[in-house]
Amino acid sequence: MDATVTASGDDVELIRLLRLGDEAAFMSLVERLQPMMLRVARMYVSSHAVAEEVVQEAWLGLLQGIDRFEGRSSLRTWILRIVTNIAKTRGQREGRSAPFASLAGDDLDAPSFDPDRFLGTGAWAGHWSTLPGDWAGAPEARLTSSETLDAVRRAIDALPPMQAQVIRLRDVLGWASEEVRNALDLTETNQRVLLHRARAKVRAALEREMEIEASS
Amino acid sequence: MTRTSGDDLTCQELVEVITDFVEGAMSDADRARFERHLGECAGCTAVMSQFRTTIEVTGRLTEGQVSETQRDAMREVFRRWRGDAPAARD
Repeated sequence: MDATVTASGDDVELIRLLRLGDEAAFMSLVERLQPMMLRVARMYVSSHAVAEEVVQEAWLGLLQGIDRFEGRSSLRTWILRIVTNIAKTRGQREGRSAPFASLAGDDLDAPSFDPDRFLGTGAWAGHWSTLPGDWAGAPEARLTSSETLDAVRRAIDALPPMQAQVIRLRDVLGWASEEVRNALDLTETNQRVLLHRARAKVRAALEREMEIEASS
Repeated sequence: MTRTSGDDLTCQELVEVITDFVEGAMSDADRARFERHLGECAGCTAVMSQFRTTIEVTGRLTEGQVSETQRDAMREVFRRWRGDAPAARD
Protein backbone atom coordinates (compact mmCIF):
# COMPACT_ATOMS: atom_id res chain seq x y z
CA MET A 1 0.00 0.00 0.00
CA ASP A 2 1.44 3.37 -0.95
CA ALA A 3 -0.84 5.44 1.25
CA THR A 4 0.59 8.60 2.69
CA VAL A 5 -2.64 9.35 4.53
CA THR A 6 -1.91 7.73 7.88
CA ALA A 7 -3.83 7.63 11.14
CA SER A 8 -4.72 11.14 12.28
CA GLY A 9 -4.57 12.45 15.83
CA ASP A 10 -8.28 11.73 16.13
CA ASP A 11 -7.66 8.17 14.94
CA VAL A 12 -4.91 7.67 17.52
CA GLU A 13 -7.25 8.81 20.27
CA LEU A 14 -10.11 6.62 18.98
CA ILE A 15 -7.85 3.60 18.82
CA ARG A 16 -6.67 4.22 22.37
CA LEU A 17 -10.31 4.38 23.53
CA LEU A 18 -11.29 1.26 21.59
CA ARG A 19 -8.41 -0.67 23.15
CA LEU A 20 -9.76 0.41 26.54
CA GLY A 21 -13.18 -0.97 25.60
CA ASP A 22 -14.90 2.44 25.33
CA GLU A 23 -18.38 1.77 23.95
CA ALA A 24 -19.22 5.40 23.16
CA ALA A 25 -16.10 5.70 21.00
CA PHE A 26 -17.09 2.55 19.12
CA MET A 27 -20.68 3.70 18.61
CA SER A 28 -19.52 7.07 17.24
CA LEU A 29 -17.53 5.18 14.61
CA VAL A 30 -20.59 3.08 13.79
CA GLU A 31 -22.66 6.24 13.27
CA ARG A 32 -20.08 7.72 10.93
CA LEU A 33 -19.04 4.70 8.89
CA GLN A 34 -21.83 2.14 8.90
CA PRO A 35 -23.92 3.60 6.00
CA MET A 36 -20.88 3.64 3.69
CA MET A 37 -19.79 0.18 4.85
CA LEU A 38 -23.20 -1.23 3.95
CA ARG A 39 -23.09 0.37 0.50
CA VAL A 40 -19.64 -1.05 -0.21
CA ALA A 41 -20.57 -4.53 1.04
CA ARG A 42 -23.76 -4.49 -1.01
CA MET A 43 -21.73 -4.18 -4.25
CA TYR A 44 -20.36 -7.68 -3.77
CA VAL A 45 -23.11 -9.67 -2.06
CA SER A 46 -26.61 -10.73 -3.02
CA SER A 47 -28.80 -8.94 -0.50
CA HIS A 48 -28.96 -6.21 2.08
CA ALA A 49 -29.24 -8.84 4.81
CA VAL A 50 -25.96 -10.45 3.75
CA ALA A 51 -24.35 -6.98 3.56
CA GLU A 52 -25.38 -6.41 7.19
CA GLU A 53 -23.71 -9.67 8.20
CA VAL A 54 -20.55 -8.66 6.34
CA VAL A 55 -20.47 -5.31 8.13
CA GLN A 56 -20.96 -6.98 11.48
CA GLU A 57 -18.10 -9.37 10.72
CA ALA A 58 -15.96 -6.42 9.66
CA TRP A 59 -16.51 -4.58 12.94
CA LEU A 60 -15.56 -7.72 14.84
CA GLY A 61 -12.47 -8.02 12.64
CA LEU A 62 -11.53 -4.44 13.44
CA LEU A 63 -11.94 -4.96 17.17
CA GLN A 64 -10.01 -8.21 17.17
CA GLY A 65 -7.20 -6.56 15.21
CA ILE A 66 -7.17 -3.25 17.06
CA ASP A 67 -4.08 -4.10 19.10
CA ARG A 68 -2.17 -4.77 15.90
CA PHE A 69 -3.32 -1.63 14.05
CA GLU A 70 -0.18 0.35 13.29
CA GLY A 71 -1.76 3.48 11.86
CA ARG A 72 -0.20 3.17 8.41
CA SER A 73 -3.56 4.10 6.91
CA SER A 74 -6.44 6.08 8.35
CA LEU A 75 -8.82 4.12 10.55
CA ARG A 76 -11.73 4.67 8.13
CA THR A 77 -9.69 3.39 5.18
CA TRP A 78 -8.72 0.31 7.16
CA ILE A 79 -12.30 -0.55 8.11
CA LEU A 80 -13.55 -0.17 4.51
CA ARG A 81 -10.73 -2.41 3.32
CA ILE A 82 -11.83 -5.03 5.82
CA VAL A 83 -15.40 -4.70 4.53
CA THR A 84 -14.25 -4.98 0.92
CA ASN A 85 -12.21 -8.11 1.61
CA ILE A 86 -14.92 -9.88 3.58
CA ALA A 87 -17.63 -8.91 1.08
CA LYS A 88 -15.60 -10.12 -1.91
CA THR A 89 -14.96 -13.48 -0.25
CA ARG A 90 -18.59 -13.78 0.75
CA GLY A 91 -19.74 -12.87 -2.75
CA GLN A 92 -17.49 -15.53 -4.27
CA ARG A 93 -18.87 -18.11 -1.87
CA GLU A 94 -22.36 -17.10 -2.99
CA GLY A 95 -21.26 -17.79 -6.55
CA ARG A 96 -21.75 -14.15 -7.32
CA SER A 97 -19.06 -12.55 -9.39
CA ALA A 98 -18.77 -8.81 -9.40
CA PRO A 99 -16.16 -8.06 -12.04
CA PHE A 100 -14.72 -4.56 -11.98
CA ALA A 101 -16.35 -3.73 -15.32
CA SER A 102 -19.85 -4.34 -14.02
CA LEU A 103 -19.28 -2.30 -10.86
CA ALA A 104 -17.54 0.55 -12.68
CA GLY A 105 -20.16 0.88 -15.42
CA ASP A 106 -19.79 0.53 -19.17
CA ASP A 107 -19.79 4.26 -19.86
CA LEU A 108 -16.29 5.19 -18.68
CA ASP A 109 -15.33 6.35 -22.17
CA ALA A 110 -18.59 8.17 -22.82
CA PRO A 111 -18.33 11.91 -23.48
CA SER A 112 -18.99 14.25 -20.55
CA PHE A 113 -20.97 16.60 -22.80
CA ASP A 114 -23.28 15.90 -25.71
CA PRO A 115 -21.16 16.12 -28.88
CA ASP A 116 -23.83 18.46 -30.30
CA ARG A 117 -22.61 21.11 -27.92
CA PHE A 118 -19.43 21.44 -29.98
CA LEU A 119 -18.88 22.55 -33.56
CA GLY A 120 -18.40 19.52 -35.77
CA THR A 121 -16.45 20.93 -38.64
CA GLY A 122 -14.40 23.87 -39.79
CA ALA A 123 -11.48 25.68 -38.26
CA TRP A 124 -13.33 25.87 -34.92
CA ALA A 125 -14.21 22.17 -34.77
CA GLY A 126 -14.31 20.91 -31.19
CA HIS A 127 -15.09 24.33 -29.77
CA TRP A 128 -18.38 25.27 -28.09
CA SER A 129 -21.27 25.82 -30.47
CA THR A 130 -23.25 27.44 -27.66
CA LEU A 131 -21.51 28.64 -24.54
CA PRO A 132 -22.24 26.75 -21.30
CA GLY A 133 -24.30 28.63 -18.72
CA ASP A 134 -22.67 30.84 -16.17
CA TRP A 135 -23.82 29.47 -12.81
CA ALA A 136 -21.87 32.05 -10.90
CA GLY A 137 -24.78 34.43 -11.46
CA ALA A 138 -27.37 31.97 -10.11
CA PRO A 139 -28.85 32.84 -6.74
CA GLU A 140 -27.30 30.82 -3.93
CA ALA A 141 -30.81 29.77 -2.84
CA ARG A 142 -31.37 27.99 -6.15
CA LEU A 143 -28.23 25.89 -5.77
CA THR A 144 -29.06 24.94 -2.21
CA SER A 145 -32.80 24.34 -2.62
CA SER A 146 -34.13 20.95 -1.57
CA GLU A 147 -35.18 20.29 -5.20
CA THR A 148 -31.61 20.79 -6.34
CA LEU A 149 -30.19 18.58 -3.60
CA ASP A 150 -32.76 15.89 -4.43
CA ALA A 151 -31.72 16.03 -8.08
CA VAL A 152 -28.07 15.55 -7.09
CA ARG A 153 -28.98 12.67 -4.76
CA ARG A 154 -31.00 10.98 -7.51
CA ALA A 155 -28.18 11.43 -10.00
CA ILE A 156 -25.72 9.75 -7.60
CA ASP A 157 -28.15 6.91 -6.82
CA ALA A 158 -28.47 6.26 -10.57
CA LEU A 159 -24.69 5.88 -11.09
CA PRO A 160 -23.03 2.47 -11.52
CA PRO A 161 -22.09 1.31 -7.99
CA MET A 162 -18.36 2.04 -8.04
CA GLN A 163 -18.88 5.51 -9.54
CA ALA A 164 -21.41 6.21 -6.79
CA GLN A 165 -19.05 5.02 -4.02
CA VAL A 166 -16.18 7.12 -5.33
CA ILE A 167 -18.16 10.36 -5.56
CA ARG A 168 -19.76 9.74 -2.15
CA LEU A 169 -16.42 9.17 -0.48
CA ARG A 170 -14.66 12.03 -2.26
CA ASP A 171 -17.32 14.73 -2.50
CA VAL A 172 -20.01 13.88 0.08
CA LEU A 173 -17.65 12.70 2.82
CA GLY A 174 -14.53 14.58 1.73
CA TRP A 175 -12.03 11.72 1.78
CA ALA A 176 -8.62 12.14 0.12
CA SER A 177 -8.00 10.39 -3.19
CA GLU A 178 -5.48 7.91 -1.75
CA GLU A 179 -7.83 6.96 1.09
CA VAL A 180 -10.54 6.16 -1.48
CA ARG A 181 -8.11 4.18 -3.63
CA ASN A 182 -7.02 2.10 -0.66
CA ALA A 183 -10.50 1.66 0.78
CA LEU A 184 -12.04 0.49 -2.50
CA ASP A 185 -8.92 -1.20 -3.88
CA LEU A 186 -8.70 1.01 -6.99
CA THR A 187 -5.72 2.15 -9.01
CA GLU A 188 -5.02 5.86 -9.17
CA THR A 189 -6.21 6.02 -12.78
CA ASN A 190 -9.39 4.05 -12.11
CA GLN A 191 -10.28 6.25 -9.17
CA ARG A 192 -9.83 9.37 -11.27
CA VAL A 193 -11.79 8.06 -14.25
CA LEU A 194 -14.68 6.94 -12.01
CA LEU A 195 -14.68 10.31 -10.25
CA HIS A 196 -14.72 12.17 -13.55
CA ARG A 197 -17.65 10.18 -14.91
CA ALA A 198 -19.57 10.61 -11.68
CA ARG A 199 -18.97 14.34 -11.45
CA ALA A 200 -19.77 14.83 -15.14
CA LYS A 201 -23.15 13.12 -14.70
CA VAL A 202 -23.98 15.01 -11.55
CA ARG A 203 -22.99 18.24 -13.32
CA ALA A 204 -25.34 17.37 -16.19
CA ALA A 205 -28.17 16.68 -13.72
CA LEU A 206 -27.51 20.01 -12.06
CA GLU A 207 -27.54 21.75 -15.43
CA ARG A 208 -30.95 20.28 -16.26
CA GLU A 209 -32.18 21.41 -12.85
CA MET A 210 -30.89 24.95 -13.42
CA GLU A 211 -32.60 25.09 -16.82
CA ILE A 212 -35.92 23.87 -15.40
CA GLU A 213 -35.81 26.42 -12.63
CA ALA A 214 -34.69 29.22 -14.94
CA SER A 215 -37.60 28.59 -17.30
CA SER A 216 -40.24 28.23 -14.60
CA MET B 1 -10.37 31.71 -27.56
CA THR B 2 -8.09 31.03 -30.46
CA ARG B 3 -8.49 28.54 -33.20
CA THR B 4 -6.91 25.15 -32.81
CA SER B 5 -3.39 25.08 -34.01
CA GLY B 6 -0.62 22.60 -33.47
CA ASP B 7 -1.05 20.84 -30.16
CA ASP B 8 -3.66 23.12 -28.61
CA LEU B 9 -6.60 21.54 -26.79
CA THR B 10 -10.11 21.90 -28.14
CA CYS B 11 -12.98 22.60 -25.74
CA GLN B 12 -14.29 19.09 -26.36
CA GLU B 13 -10.92 17.65 -25.32
CA LEU B 14 -10.54 19.95 -22.34
CA VAL B 15 -13.80 18.91 -20.65
CA GLU B 16 -12.61 15.29 -20.56
CA VAL B 17 -9.42 16.09 -18.67
CA ILE B 18 -10.82 18.52 -16.08
CA THR B 19 -10.54 15.90 -13.33
CA ASP B 20 -6.97 15.06 -14.36
CA PHE B 21 -6.23 18.77 -14.00
CA VAL B 22 -7.87 19.31 -10.63
CA GLU B 23 -6.42 16.06 -9.24
CA GLY B 24 -2.92 17.14 -10.22
CA ALA B 25 -2.47 14.17 -12.54
CA MET B 26 -1.06 16.08 -15.53
CA SER B 27 2.44 16.54 -16.85
CA ASP B 28 3.79 20.08 -16.75
CA ALA B 29 3.35 20.37 -20.51
CA ASP B 30 -0.29 19.21 -20.41
CA ARG B 31 -1.01 21.50 -17.49
CA ALA B 32 0.42 24.45 -19.39
CA ARG B 33 -1.70 23.59 -22.43
CA PHE B 34 -4.80 23.31 -20.26
CA GLU B 35 -4.15 26.63 -18.55
CA ARG B 36 -3.41 28.35 -21.85
CA HIS B 37 -6.77 27.23 -23.26
CA LEU B 38 -8.62 28.22 -20.11
CA GLY B 39 -7.07 31.67 -20.14
CA GLU B 40 -8.56 32.33 -23.56
CA CYS B 41 -11.91 30.51 -23.39
CA ALA B 42 -14.97 31.85 -21.57
CA GLY B 43 -16.95 28.64 -22.24
CA CYS B 44 -14.40 26.33 -20.64
CA THR B 45 -13.91 28.77 -17.76
CA ALA B 46 -17.69 28.54 -17.15
CA VAL B 47 -17.52 24.74 -17.21
CA MET B 48 -14.65 24.69 -14.72
CA SER B 49 -16.80 26.82 -12.46
CA GLN B 50 -19.75 24.44 -13.00
CA PHE B 51 -17.58 21.50 -11.88
CA ARG B 52 -16.52 23.41 -8.75
CA THR B 53 -20.17 24.20 -8.01
CA THR B 54 -21.09 20.54 -8.58
CA ILE B 55 -18.51 19.45 -6.00
CA GLU B 56 -19.77 22.07 -3.53
CA VAL B 57 -23.42 21.12 -3.94
CA THR B 58 -22.59 17.39 -3.67
CA GLY B 59 -20.77 18.23 -0.43
CA ARG B 60 -24.06 19.44 1.07
CA LEU B 61 -25.55 15.96 0.93
CA THR B 62 -25.39 13.79 4.00
CA GLU B 63 -24.89 10.04 4.27
CA GLY B 64 -27.72 7.80 5.44
CA GLN B 65 -28.65 7.14 9.03
CA VAL B 66 -27.93 3.99 11.01
CA SER B 67 -31.11 2.12 11.90
CA GLU B 68 -31.91 1.40 15.55
CA THR B 69 -31.76 -2.35 14.86
CA GLN B 70 -28.30 -2.02 13.33
CA ARG B 71 -27.12 0.15 16.18
CA ASP B 72 -28.27 -2.43 18.74
CA ALA B 73 -26.65 -5.26 16.77
CA MET B 74 -23.30 -3.44 16.63
CA ARG B 75 -23.46 -2.59 20.34
CA GLU B 76 -23.98 -6.30 20.95
CA VAL B 77 -20.92 -7.15 18.80
CA PHE B 78 -18.87 -4.68 20.81
CA ARG B 79 -19.99 -5.97 24.19
CA ARG B 80 -19.37 -9.56 23.23
CA TRP B 81 -15.89 -8.64 22.02
CA ARG B 82 -15.23 -6.78 25.28
CA GLY B 83 -16.23 -9.92 27.12
CA ASP B 84 -19.30 -8.64 28.90
CA ALA B 85 -21.42 -11.40 30.39
CA PRO B 86 -24.85 -11.31 28.70
CA ALA B 87 -26.44 -10.62 32.10
CA ALA B 88 -24.27 -7.54 32.52
CA ARG B 89 -26.09 -5.73 29.73
CA ASP B 90 -27.94 -2.64 30.77
